[in-house]
Amino acid sequence: MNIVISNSSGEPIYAQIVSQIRQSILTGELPAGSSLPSIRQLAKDLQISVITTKRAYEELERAGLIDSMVGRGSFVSGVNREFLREQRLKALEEKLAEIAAESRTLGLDKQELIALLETVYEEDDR
Amino acid sequence: MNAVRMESIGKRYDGFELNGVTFDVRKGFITGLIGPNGSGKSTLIRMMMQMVRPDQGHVELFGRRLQGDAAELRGKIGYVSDESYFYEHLTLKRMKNILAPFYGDWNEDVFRGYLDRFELPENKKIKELSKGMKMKFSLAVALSHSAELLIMDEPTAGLDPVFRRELLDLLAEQIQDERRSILFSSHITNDLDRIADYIVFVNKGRLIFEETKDAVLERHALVKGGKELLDADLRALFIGLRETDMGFEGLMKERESAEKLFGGLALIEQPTLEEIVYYTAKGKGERVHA
Amino acid sequence: MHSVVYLVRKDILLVYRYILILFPFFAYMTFAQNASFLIYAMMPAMILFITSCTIDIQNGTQRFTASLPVSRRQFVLSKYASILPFTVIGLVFSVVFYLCAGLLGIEAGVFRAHDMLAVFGLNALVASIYLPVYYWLGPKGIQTVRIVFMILVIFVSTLIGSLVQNSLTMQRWIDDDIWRAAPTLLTAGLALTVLVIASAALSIKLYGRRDV
Repeated sequence: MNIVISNSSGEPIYAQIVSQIRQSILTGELPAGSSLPSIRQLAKDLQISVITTKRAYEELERAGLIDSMVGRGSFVSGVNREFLREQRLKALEEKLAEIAAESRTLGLDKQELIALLETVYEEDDR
Repeated sequence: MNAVRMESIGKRYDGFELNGVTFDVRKGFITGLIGPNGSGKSTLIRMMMQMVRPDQGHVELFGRRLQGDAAELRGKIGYVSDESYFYEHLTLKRMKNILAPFYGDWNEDVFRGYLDRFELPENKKIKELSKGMKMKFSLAVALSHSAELLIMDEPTAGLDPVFRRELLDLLAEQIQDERRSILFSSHITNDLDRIADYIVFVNKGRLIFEETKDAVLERHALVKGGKELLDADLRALFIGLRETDMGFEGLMKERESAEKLFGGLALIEQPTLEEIVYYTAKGKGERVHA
Repeated sequence: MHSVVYLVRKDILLVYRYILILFPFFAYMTFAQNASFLIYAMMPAMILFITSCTIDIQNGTQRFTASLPVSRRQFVLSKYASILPFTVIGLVFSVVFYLCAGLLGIEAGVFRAHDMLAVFGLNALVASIYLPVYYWLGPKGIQTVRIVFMILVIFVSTLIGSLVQNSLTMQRWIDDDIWRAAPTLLTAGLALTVLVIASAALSIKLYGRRDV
């Protein structure tokens, strides 16, 4: 597992850790049951504070992605990837609903919105 | 439990006063004591070492309130002074021979390890060492008697950038054992504070804040914008402000209110600790002409 | 009490190299024949003692001892205790030079066993005056105190040395049959003990709560 911390991205360090570990779990790089480095070890490796690392692990735990056991460390939880994917799809749906509402207030119809989405995709591909 | 608790500390010197300073050094964490030169950091640290006694308030070490001379508690502390206090005319080896017997938990192998790691010549006299080398020797001693608390007063002064980074690893190694605690003081921030968990900020003998570093950085806001945005009421809301003909840059205590007041009008950034120290020490002061 | 032993050991290690410097000085004194046994015995001990005290306070080294897990009280007591080994070193010095002088056929004053006792007493006396002043003035006055006491040591040892050699009364005090001298010695010993205890108590009071 790799974690790369950027000091200039503006994104809080704990959030960077959360999203990168979540990504590793989603891609299957970290299978269920695999152990994560201890909070203190990770803090040492990344040269960041223990509290920041702790916060990231707490966040992951709250999202049900990892389990922490006193004295034994943290493990990727048994939550299956299908379930995680569904969760993220649901979140995506919510965001899309927001976008739909926003485009309605701007007076865009469905076709125009789709066209806009296509432009965004093309820009991303380039 | 706390490794150290400073409770309403007061101390008066000629032209300097510590006033009601309260803070903790939490067990298992790294605490950074920061503030400009002459803000009282060294005095506070010397109180933990019982070198200086407070006029008011009291100090607790490892949960025990200091009364009289609790000499044995000093054995549980690894202390790195801001100035080398060793006998300058002695070699490192003889200095070590003098001090080692005082520590029941002295570990010669660990000490040898640090001598190698820091490339310290044990047959050289202390007065022949550079400031950085003296500090390394002091650190080697402090780390060789299984201290529960490491206190370092301005450790990075005189250290090259390479060793400063190495020091981060060294401190992180120490803190792998969560029974240990570390306190360092510094007026050069953005240095050791990468790995600091808590920040205690003192200025002119008073405590400004004591918080986790993450909270400190997230709470404050650095606002940059054109000078036409400011008026007397707004100026009053800044902790510190620097105005030039090109515009202003200022520090605000609450990010939320900064967003409310300047959102969309000015640039709002997360400040570094150094900027927080600078603007707090500076205050609103004189307008600087560019 | 282990710590007091280690502190005394520290004092001796601090002045280790000065012992070597003292050699030529005393060799000269022996051949110049202008000193009594008391000077031979007192001078090196007091030079070493005062030098170790000076090293322990100048250039911020006070903070070193203050950082050790040793109480201020033990630290002060160790200074008084260090008089003993320094006096022994001084006596060894003087005996060596006295014997050397004898071998070379040089008349180097009169050697009496009683003098050894006197040397212990005089060293304890000087230290009992020196240490409270040392703690009272702290790092600021240390160099002045050092010089004043060095001169004092030379003066007192020379004075008493010549008194012992020239005054009949003094001769009788020290030289007499040990049983007849006992009351005098006992009184002197008792007075000295009281002085040392009072001096130590004063030093502890002066240094015990001082900020360093």
